[in-house]
Order: sequence, then C-alpha cells, then structure tokens
Amino acid sequence: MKQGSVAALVKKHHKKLLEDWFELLIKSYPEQSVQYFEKHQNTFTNPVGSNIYLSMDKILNELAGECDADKIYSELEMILRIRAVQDVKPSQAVSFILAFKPLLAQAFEQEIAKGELTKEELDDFCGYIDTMALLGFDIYVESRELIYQLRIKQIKETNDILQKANLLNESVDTSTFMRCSNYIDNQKEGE
Amino acid sequence: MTKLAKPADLLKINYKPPMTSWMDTPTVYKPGTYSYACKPESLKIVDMPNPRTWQTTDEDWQLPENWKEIVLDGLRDRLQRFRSLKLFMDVCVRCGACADKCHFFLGSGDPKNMPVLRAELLRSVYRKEYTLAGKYMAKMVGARELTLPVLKEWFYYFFQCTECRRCSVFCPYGIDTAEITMLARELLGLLGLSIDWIMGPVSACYMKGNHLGIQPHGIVDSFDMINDDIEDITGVRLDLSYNRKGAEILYVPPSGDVFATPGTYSLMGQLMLFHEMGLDYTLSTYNSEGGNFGLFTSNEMMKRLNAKIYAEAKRLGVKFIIGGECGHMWRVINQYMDTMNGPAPDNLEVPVSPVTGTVFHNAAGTKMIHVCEFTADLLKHNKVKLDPSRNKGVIATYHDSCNPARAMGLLDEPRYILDHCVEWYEMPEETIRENTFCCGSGAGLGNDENMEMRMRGGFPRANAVKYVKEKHGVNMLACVCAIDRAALPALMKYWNPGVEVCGVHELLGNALVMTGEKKREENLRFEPLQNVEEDDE
Repeated sequence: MKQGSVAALVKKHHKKLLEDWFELLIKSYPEQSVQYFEKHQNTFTNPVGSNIYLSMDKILNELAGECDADKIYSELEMILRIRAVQDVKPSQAVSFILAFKPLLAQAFEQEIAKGELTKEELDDFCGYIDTMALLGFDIYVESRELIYQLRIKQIKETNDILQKANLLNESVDTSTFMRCSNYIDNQKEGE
Repeated sequence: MTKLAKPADLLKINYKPPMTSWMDTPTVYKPGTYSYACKPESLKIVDMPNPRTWQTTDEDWQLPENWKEIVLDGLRDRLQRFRSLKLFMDVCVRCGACADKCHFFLGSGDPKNMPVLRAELLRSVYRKEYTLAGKYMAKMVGARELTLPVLKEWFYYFFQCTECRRCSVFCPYGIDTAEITMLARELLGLLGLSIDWIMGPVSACYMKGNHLGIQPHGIVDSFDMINDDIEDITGVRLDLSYNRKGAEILYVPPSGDVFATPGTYSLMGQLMLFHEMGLDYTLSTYNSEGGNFGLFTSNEMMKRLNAKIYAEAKRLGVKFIIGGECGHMWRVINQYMDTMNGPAPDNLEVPVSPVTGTVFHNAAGTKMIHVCEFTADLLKHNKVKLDPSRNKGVIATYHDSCNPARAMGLLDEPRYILDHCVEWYEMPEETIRENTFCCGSGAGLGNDENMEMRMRGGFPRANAVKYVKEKHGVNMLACVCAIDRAALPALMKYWNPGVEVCGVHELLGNALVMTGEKKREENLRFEPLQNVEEDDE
C-alpha cells in the first residue's frame, strides 16, 4: 500500500469511524443525558451533541484529505471549548483525541489482516492524532485561562464602578475571592 | 498501585458517572459552578434570619438547631398559601417534555439540571412529608427525608436555575418551574441561605434604591457623565431633571444601564430620544432601579422592593411610568406588581403617548409601559427621524431576553425598532421569541465566581449566535435586558469572539437625527462612524 493510503481508508470508513468516535465521547455523559445528547441532528436544540458530531465529521474529512492544521484546530476548539466548561478533568477532556487511535486500528482490521495496510503505515498516520492531542492540550488550557481572564475582568469592572461612586471601601469584600483561592489550594494539598 | 490507563480507558472509567440513582448521587461543589454565600450584613438589613459569616463550601453552614422543622413548616405554610405550588407538587407526570429544554442541562449534561429533576429535588421531600404513599413507600414513589445533604443539593441546584421559564413553555401541564425555584429559594432563605450576588443587591436596593447602593448624588453624577458624553458626540446637551414633582412621566431604568457599559450606551439612546420628543419626564434618585432581586429571594422581598415604584410615582404626581430595557423587572411588573402593590396610586392614568396619542390599554392595570413599546409606537407614527447609515458596519441579531419575551410577550416591538435602525438577522426559530435561550447568568447567577457554569448555561444561546455570525457576518448581539448586557459580553468572548453586545436603544441612538445636532462622527461608544469615513474618502 502506498503512502497516503491511510487517508483513503479514513475516507472509506468515514461513517463507522465517525459513529464510533462520537459514541465513545457521548456515552461518557451521565446515562440519563445520553439519550438527549446522542440525537445530533438539530444543532440548536442539542448544541453539545450536534457540535461534537459536526466537528468530528469535519476533522475526519481533513484527516482523509488535506490535513489542514487551521481547520483541524478550529474543530478541536469547538469540542474543547465545550469540554473545558463541563464537569471533567483536563485529562478526560482531551482523552477523546488519543482514544481515536484504537478506533482506527479497529476500523482497518480487515485491511491489516489482508496485508493492504502495514502496522508501520498506521503508526505513521497516528502521528497526526498525537499532534491533535497536543493541540487539544493548548486549546483546553487557553479555554480555562480565558475563563479566569473573564472573571478578573468582571472583578475589575465592578471595582471601577464602585470606585467612581466612592463606594469601594464598603462594598468590595475580597475575602470571598481570597477564600476561593484558599479553597483551591486546600484541595491541592488534600490530593 | 494503579496501572496507567490508556486514553480510551480514561473515557470509560473516569468519565462514567456513578451508577447510582439521582437520589444517591452526592452533590459536589466544584469551584466555578456555584456562587459565594451571602454576607451577614445583607441579611440583617432586610431582617432575614440567621445572619452569620459562612461560605458555601463550609462543612458547617451554621444552621439553627431546628432547621429541618423551619423548612418543613415553611413548606407547609406555602402549600396552604399558594395553590400553584400545591398543583406543581402534584400534577407532574414526569413526561420529560421539559427535560432537554433547560440551557444548563443542554450545556452540562447534568441530569439534575433537567427541570423535572430540579423540581423533583423539592417534590421528593414534599411526598415524604405530605403524602400517604410517600410516608410508607418512600423509595417506590420517589420520596425522601429532608437531610443536610439534601439541603446542600437544593442550594446547589436551585441557585443553578436562572428562572428563565423556557421549560415552562413546553410543560403540557403548565408547571412554572421558575416558581418552584423561587419557592425553594424562599425556603432556603428561612435559614439565612442565599448568595452574595443576590442579597448584596437586595439589601443595597432596600437601603438606597439600586443594586450597587449608589446614593442620590452618585446617581446624578452618573447621569451628568452620560449627558457630557451625549453632548460630546451630538453637540446637544439634555435638560435632565431629578425628582421633579408634576412631571408627566417617571422614567425607571435598570441601574446597570446608569453605571456600566454597554448599558450606558443604550440609556444614552433612550434619553436622547426623550429629549428629541420633548417628553415631560423626570428621573428619580430614590427609585433608581427597576430591577428587583427580591424576585430571586422571596415573594415578600419582591413586593417590598417593588413598592418604591408606585410610592415614587405617587410622591412626584406623575401620570404614568416608562420602564427601561430591563429583563426580570418586567416579570415583576407585568405579572405581579398590580396584585402585589396595586392598585396603582390615583394620580396614575392609563398611559397615553404624549407624542402620538396612542393609548396603551395593555398597561391599564400597572400604568407602566416598556420603553420599547413607547419607541415602536413613535416609529409606527413616523415621529422619529433616523439615519440608519450611521450604524453601517454593524450587523446585528436580536436576543429575546427571557422575561420580556416570556413573561410579558414583548416580542415584536424591539424587532420593529431594529428594522428601522440597522441591518439585522434573526437567529434560528428554536432559539428566539418564546423559545429564547437564556444568557445563563440571570436570577442572580451573573457573578464572577460562577463563570464556568455561566459559560455552560449560555452555550445554547451562544451557539445560535455562532450560526448567524457564520451565515450573515453578525457582529452585534442586541438585547433588552441589563443583566444580558452585563453577562453576554463574557459569553461572546468565550464562544464567539468578535461579537459585541448592545441594547436596542443604542442602535436607535446612533441613528437618531436630533434637532440642532452637530455632524456626527462617532457612535455612542466614541468609535468613528463608518459612513463618515466613506464620505471623507
């Protein structure tokens, strides 16, 4: 099998790869919620399920074609913006990317058995997935940083208003904010 | 030793929620998803019980010894007083129509954000205490004891509902889940359990008439600054009056618009319009807030804070009241004010536009109209001269703020104003008008510590904005709610960078041609007008 043929196989098995990858991520939501999230047809009534599905679809198209880094980045960004504000750990948030590798091996089982695809060729292609995981890490961290930037912005804006109204001394109580920091620190110590 | 997991195993093992029923799934207060506790001073100011210094994440909430009795007595009392609550506790058949309608559920996937399950948190205790089946077959009928973990679960999830009422639109029985949240918060309040971002504004409003606790001279200063800005931009100085007896109209803004951008721009637009129409109106430095965080506290608190509107209207002897671009204020006014603090004082009359003569029969009870109703009527009668080219470069969409849309049916007036001022596009129909998605920050949840939850809850709205941004190049999200204007900019920065937020009247103010104005070169944000740049070229 010639170079680039893995991409052709991604194209050939697009539907199965997409369904499996989507299911892997969606089934990780609480059981009662999966039935709603897996209906991905309507973007507006199920934004989480449909955006994850659409972005995975587009990523697969890129992997089967140009592998445009910017396009892949923006689709990963869509999924990870969602994951970054949901109740999962960072490792869990990005794990769906690396978890795609075994799905590839699974989907190409027959081709590998027939000798149409070598393990080396597959491993080589999986380098793309590793890069995607690293990009995913970038995006996750950027998203979390953005949340804290937004927090700080709001605190500063509130301060400015109160300062203008000469109310700063009595209204802004930073103890609760500090308390949050302590809480986070304590948690770390406890772990 | 735990063996290092492969990525797929991470998904399988750690992702999977505990396979327990919802009743046995413990509540975890994760930073970013809850609000800080209220301060003792705020509770003291409004005579609420159990003022003490505590924090949401404390193990010990310092509750009175008989806390359980207080809550259950409180629930019994309210079941007798409010037929609606009794009905809401009994009639739900758990059909699931509401399940996937809540923005917090859609953004998080947390089943306890399904409105049916959120209400079940309270219903389960109701069943245990007040139904025969619940007493004897608790598990079978979904009944449970009120315990401290249950109370903490209530606090977490009832302060994770923005009372937007989207779920209620879909309930075949007409259960108003927002009212269940309101009642649950009221019960929590009996133990001095509330959040700082609600009780701070409530106590400030009670003492000084607005959420931030700005005193009368501070209010005047702020309006003066706004007036300076208007003069700089238009060359016209407005003749503002405060607490003026005998004025025809009392104007009540949400105070957020007096102090914070982008709300101030929208307020500028309204004041400019009033000036241009020669309106005989006055501002009040005492009744300087239309918003009412009492709605998020208790019926009594809502009534108490709302009372100042009629009191001030009576004191000043005005004929009717115009309210600003505020959200929840309009649920209070349209649905409760008349029965709560009415009938309106005798000096108030059914509002009649002094410019067009239109009689606002819809406000015959409250004597108070929304500024968008007033403006849309002016436009309908061709009384306003506009130059929409000043909004060139702005491509807007319109977010129906929850309460004006669902609690008063203000759907077409803001759209009518936009039609006259700016190029704009609707978001998909599942996300607008009665079906509108909440900003995710209403009902007191717009604080900074709750940012992660706000981004989750606001995602369905942001997702619809993303659609029109990509399809039509939308770069401005217009709305008619001060909380929206405070909350949506952060939401847009997270989900749709490049989309700004404004009030409807900001766009009107930009387009408004005023008598005696200088050549406009900047919009109300002091940004250069695009049509001027083109003229110069």
